[in-house]
Amino acid sequence: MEETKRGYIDPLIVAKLSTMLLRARFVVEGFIAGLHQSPYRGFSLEFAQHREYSPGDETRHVDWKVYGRKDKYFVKQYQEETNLKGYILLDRSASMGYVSKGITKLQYGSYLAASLAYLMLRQQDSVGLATFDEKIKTYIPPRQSKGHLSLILNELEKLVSSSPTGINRSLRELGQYTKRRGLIILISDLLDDQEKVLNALKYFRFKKHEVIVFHLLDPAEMELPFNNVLWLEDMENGKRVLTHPVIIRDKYKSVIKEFVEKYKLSCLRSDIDYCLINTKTPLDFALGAYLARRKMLR
Amino acid sequence: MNITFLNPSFLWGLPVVSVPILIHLLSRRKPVTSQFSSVRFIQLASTTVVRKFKLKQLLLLILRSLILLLLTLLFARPVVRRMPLFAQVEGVSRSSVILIDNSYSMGYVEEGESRFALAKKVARRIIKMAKRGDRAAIFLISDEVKPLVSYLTDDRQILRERLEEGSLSFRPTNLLPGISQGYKILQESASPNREIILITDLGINGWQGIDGKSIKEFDPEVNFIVIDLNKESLPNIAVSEVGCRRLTIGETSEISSKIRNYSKENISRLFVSVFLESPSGFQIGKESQEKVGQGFIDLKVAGETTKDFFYNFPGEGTYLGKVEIQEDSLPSDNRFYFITEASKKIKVLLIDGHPGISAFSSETFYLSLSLSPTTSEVSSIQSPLAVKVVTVDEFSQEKLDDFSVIFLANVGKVTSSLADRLTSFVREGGGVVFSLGDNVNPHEYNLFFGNLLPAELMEVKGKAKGEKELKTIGFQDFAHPVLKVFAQGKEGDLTRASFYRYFATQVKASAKVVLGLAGDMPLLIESELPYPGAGKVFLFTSTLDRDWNNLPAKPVFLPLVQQMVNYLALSTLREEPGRTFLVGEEISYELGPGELPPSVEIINPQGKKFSVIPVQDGDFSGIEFGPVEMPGIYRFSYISNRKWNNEYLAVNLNIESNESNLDKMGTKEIKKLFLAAPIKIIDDLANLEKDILQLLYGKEISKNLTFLLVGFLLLEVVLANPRGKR
Repeated sequence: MEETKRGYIDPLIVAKLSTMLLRARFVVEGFIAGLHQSPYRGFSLEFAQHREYSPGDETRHVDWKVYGRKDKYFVKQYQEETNLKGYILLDRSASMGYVSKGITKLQYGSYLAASLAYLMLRQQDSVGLATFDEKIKTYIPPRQSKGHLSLILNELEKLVSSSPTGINRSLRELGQYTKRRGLIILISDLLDDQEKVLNALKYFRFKKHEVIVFHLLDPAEMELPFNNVLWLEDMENGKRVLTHPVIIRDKYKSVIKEFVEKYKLSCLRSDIDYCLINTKTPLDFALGAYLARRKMLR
Repeated sequence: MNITFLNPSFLWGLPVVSVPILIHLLSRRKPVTSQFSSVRFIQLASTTVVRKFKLKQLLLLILRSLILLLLTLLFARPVVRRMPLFAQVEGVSRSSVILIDNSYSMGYVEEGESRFALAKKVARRIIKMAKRGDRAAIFLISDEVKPLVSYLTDDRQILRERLEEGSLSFRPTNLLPGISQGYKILQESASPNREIILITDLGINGWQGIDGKSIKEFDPEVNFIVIDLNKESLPNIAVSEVGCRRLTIGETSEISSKIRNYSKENISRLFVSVFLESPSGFQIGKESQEKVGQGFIDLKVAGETTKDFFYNFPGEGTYLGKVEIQEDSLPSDNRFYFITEASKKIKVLLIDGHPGISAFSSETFYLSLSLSPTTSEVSSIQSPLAVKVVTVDEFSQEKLDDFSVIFLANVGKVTSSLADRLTSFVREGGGVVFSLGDNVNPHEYNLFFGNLLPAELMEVKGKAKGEKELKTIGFQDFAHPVLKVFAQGKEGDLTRASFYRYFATQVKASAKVVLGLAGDMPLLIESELPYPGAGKVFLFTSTLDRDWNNLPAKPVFLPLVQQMVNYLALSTLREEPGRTFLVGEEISYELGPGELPPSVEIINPQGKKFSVIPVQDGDFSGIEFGPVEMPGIYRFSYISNRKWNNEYLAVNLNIESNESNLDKMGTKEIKKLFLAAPIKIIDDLANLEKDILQLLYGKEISKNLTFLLVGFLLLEVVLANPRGKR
C-alpha cells in the first residue's frame, strides 16, 4: 500500500513537474500567499489603498496615522498574493473501470489526481478531492497542509469503479461546496449526456471558476482494435450489442472523433481547458503536456 | 424453351457452386462476449454500415456462387432451344422432306424474281446446310404431288440436279396431299430427327380441306417447318371467264369477259384486249396477235366487272381467241383462252313427231317453211337460219353441239335417252320448243320431260275442227322479246288465230306465260333450267301445224317462230361445250363423225407434239389424254375419211379455285391447325440457315455466358475491394 502510495508521487514525475509551476489561469480567492495574484484586496504586506472605516471592520486594520492627520477613521487595504484552491473531481463510474491493456482509466485517473494534488500542494495551493459516479461519493475539502496530501492519497487508494455515470449531477452537487472561485479539475471519460456535461462545466465558468477537463479514454475505445465479431456488453447498463469491429471501425472512429471534437470545441468556446488523454500515455507526459498548455495560457 | 448440354458430364461439377456458401458457414464463429465502457457509439456506427455490409456480403456470396455456376456451365456447353418440341437427338442424322409449292400463284414476280424461283433458291440453301449423313426428298406440290426426288437420299448432287428440273405449274394449290406424302416418306425413316420443310406463299387457297383432324393423323414427332415467301398480301387481277353468243356472220357478235379484282384497292382504267384469229393463222407455240378489240374497265375491291366486245366475224368457221388484261405481277391468270364458231346460220333441228308421206302432211311442214322461207332458187337473200328436220329415230344420230334450237313437234315416241340428251342440250345453253299434238302422252311427257317443261300437262281441251267453240289468244306479254314485234301491230295480229284444241296445263311457279288463250289457258310458256349458262324452253300447248289451230296459216306465224328461234339462240352467253378445259383436267374429246383415225397428233400451246390413239367406248368415240398442264390452245390433227382435220380446244387456269387470291393464311390459323404437331413458320429468309439450325439444334450460349462471367468477375472485384482499400 505504501509502495503504491509512493507510486502516485513518483519522484521522477514530481522532479519533472517541479520545474513547471502550475499556475491558475485566473485570480482566485485564497488566504495563503503564493504565486497567484488575487483580484481581491486583503490583508497582506503590500499596501494597496485606504478605505473609510465602516462598522464591522476590525480595528487592527485602522491606520492611526491617517486618523491623526484627517481626524477620520481609515482602514488599510493590501494587495495580496493568494494560493489557488483546487478541486479535483474524479469519475469513478463503472465505465472508468474499462481496460483493454495496462491500467484502467480509473487507475490512470487516480495517478493523475495524486500527481496534481502533490504538485498543487507543493506550490502552496490548497487542494481538495471529490469522487463521483451517479453522484458525489466522497469529498475532501481543499486544504494546504502537508498531511492533507496523505488524506487524498488514501482516498484515491481505495477507489473502485461502481455505478453508472452522472457527471452533470455530480458537478452540480460540487457547486454547493465551492463557494469561492477556484480551480475545478475534472478527470473523467465523459461518457454521459454530452450536452448536460457541457452545461454543467459552463456553470462553473459562470461562477468564475477555472476549469480543466482531463478526458480519459482507453486506446481500445478510440481505435476499436478487435478483429472478430463479438458481443460487447455495456459496463454501465449491461446492454449487449453484436459488433462487427472490422466493418464499423472507420465509422466508429469518426463517431468518437466527432464526440471528442465536440467537447474540445465547446470547451474552447467556454474558455475551459480540455485535455484528451490516452491511458497509454505516460503520466508524466500527460501532466507535462497539461502544464505546458497552462503556461501557454498565461 | 429448354436447355441441353453438349458436355453434360461437366454438370457433375455443379456442387462446386455451394463452395462459397460452405466457406461462409464454416468460417462463422460464435461471437464471444466482452465488456466495453459504452456501446452507445458502437450502435451509432453500426446503424447503416452493418446493413450495407451484410447486403454486400450477401451479394458477394451470390456473385461467387454464380461465377462458379457459370464456369461449370461453360464447360458443360449449354444449348438453348426456343421450341422444345423441335428437339433433335444429337449426333444422329436428319431426314427431311422438302415440299415446294409450285402452284401458279408462286409465279408471282417480286423484284424481278418469281416466288417459285425464290423457293428453289431456298431449297438449295437447305440442301447445302445438310450435314454428312442427312437425307432428304423433294416434292413439288400444287393440287398434285410431283416427286423430284421421291426417296430419302444423302446424295446432294442428285438433290441439286433434280431440284433444277422442277418447274412452276399452272395448277391451284392443295397442300394436304403433299403434306401427307411427306409424312408417309418420313415414316420409312428410322431417324428420330425428321422434319417436313414446306416452302410456300401460304396462299389461302392451299389450306382448304386441311383441318385439325387431318393434322392429328400425322406423326407428332415429325417437325414441321414452313418457310413463308409471301411478305405481304399483294394485288392481283385475273380474267375469270369468257363467253360468246352463238356467232352469226353478218350480225354483230358479242364476246363477253369477266375480270376479277383480288386486290384490296379499287383499280381504274385497266386495259383489256381481245384477240381472235382463224385456224389458218394458228402458229405452233405462238399466241394470237390479232387484236380485234380493246378497252378499259374499272374494278372495285374484290369485285368482278364484265367487259363486252362486239365484233363482226368475217367468215364462217372456228376462231381461236383470248381475252387479256395488262400485265401484273402474276402473269399466268392475265389471259383466258376460248374457241368459238362463227357460222352463217343459226342451226335449228326440227324433230318431226308425225312425218307424213308428203312434206305438206308432216308435222313440221309449216314450221320448216317459216324458219327458212327463202331458198337460193327464189331469192339471193340467205336466211340466217339453217333448218334440219329429223325423225325421232334419226335424232339419236345427231351431234347436238351444232344446233342452237331444237323443236319437238308432236313427238310421241319419248325415251329417257331423248330426255337426257335434251336436258344436257339445254344445260349447255341450247333452246328447246315443245309443241304438242295427238301423239303426245301427257303422262309420258310429265315423266320424261318433267325437269324441262315449264308446265305440267293435263288433259286435252277443245272441240273438233269446224265447230263453233273456238279459242283465241286472250293474253299477250308484249314486254317479252318474242312478242315485241307484235306490240305495234305491224307484224300482224295474233288474236286472229283460232285454236280448236290444246292441252290444259299447270304452270310451274318458275315459269312465265308469254301467250294465253282466252279463259286463262296458257298457250306459250317459257322457263329456264336453274343452271348457269343454261338455255330456255318454250312449251306451245297446241300444235305448230294446222291440226289443232289455224295459226300456221296466219301471217303472224312466221315472225312468231322466227322470233322464238332468235330469242332462244341468242339469249345465252354460251361457251363452246366440250372445247374448254381446265389445267389439270383429263381431256375426253369426242371427234367428229366419220371413221376413227389411227392416231391423233396433239400440239400443246408450247408447240410440243404428241400422239394419242383414239378410243371407241360405247357412244363415245374420241381421244382421251391428260391431265393437261398448260393453259392455251391445243390443236388436234388427224385424218378421217381421207381428209385432214384440225380441231382445237382451249385450256384455262382454274380461276374458280381461288388460287389467284394471293391473301395468305394467317400464322395463328396455321398454328391452330398444328396444335398437336411442332410447327415453326420462318419468314426471315436472310437468316434462314441460322433460324433452322437454331430451331433444330438450338443455340450454344457459351459466348453469352463468357461475357456474363467476365461481368460477374469484374463486379466481384469491385464489390470485394471497395474504393479506398484497393
